[in-house]
Amino acid sequence: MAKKLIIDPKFLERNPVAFTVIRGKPPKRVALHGECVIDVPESIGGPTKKVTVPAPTQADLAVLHALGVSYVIEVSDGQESGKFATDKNIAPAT
Amino acid sequence: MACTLAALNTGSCANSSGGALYAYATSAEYIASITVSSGIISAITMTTTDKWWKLTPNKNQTCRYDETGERPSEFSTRLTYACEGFAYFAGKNNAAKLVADAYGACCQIVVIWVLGNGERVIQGLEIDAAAAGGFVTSKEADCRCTPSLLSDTAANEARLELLFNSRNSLASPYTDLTDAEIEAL
Repeated sequence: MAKKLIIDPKFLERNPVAFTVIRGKPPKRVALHGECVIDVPESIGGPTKKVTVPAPTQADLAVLHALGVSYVIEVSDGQESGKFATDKNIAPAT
Repeated sequence: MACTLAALNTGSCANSSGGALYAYATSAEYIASITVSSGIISAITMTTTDKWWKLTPNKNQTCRYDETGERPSEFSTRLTYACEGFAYFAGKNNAAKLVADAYGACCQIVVIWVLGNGERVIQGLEIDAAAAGGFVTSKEADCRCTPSLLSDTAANEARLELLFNSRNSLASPYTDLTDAEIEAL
């Protein structure tokens, strides 16, 4: 059975809103709880603006998994349950 | 306890440039978890975004981060590290007051110090694989900032000094996250 990577639902229970960075050039910010819109505060770069932060893709999760990030777990396709990020973006947390 | 010590050879020509160049600071409450690879923090997960603030002090050779090992007596088995970071900003004005108030009010600060040799050392947290998130704040005393706003005299420079103090049970961990990665968190 095919394997896929997901965010451990227990991690998302403890951290219903969570962000990290996929290392690389440039680094990519991802929302582990699912795609969402954030307010980027005013800075030298410009005024406050709204930015969409994507959910991690399988490729992103693979990078985190390779780093040893404990909340990225491998499951068999169809085994997953609960709320987690997949290739398909999920609704933002409220 | 069986001890496994480590070899160290100064002939390896480590970069020994002293001092710190700048720092990134946040409150520990915003850190959800860390990931450790080969003893280095290689990933940080946050509970919200844009909570790392960059501190770029004056380049006057005063910025530093020191960890001084201390035992109650030289024969004591108890060892802690008094951790002290310092950053100096010329000027004394309302903007400095706002910075001082913000840092003074935070009781669990985490600071990534970028050292003169390019290394990045983290004040205010310790790796703890058994803890939720893989870390705890400094085990002996949380990192707090004591700001000083000095006009000094006309012979000298008015300034804001930020002094960060914490106490660890182990030496501070390092990270290999780059500036761009920290700023994207």
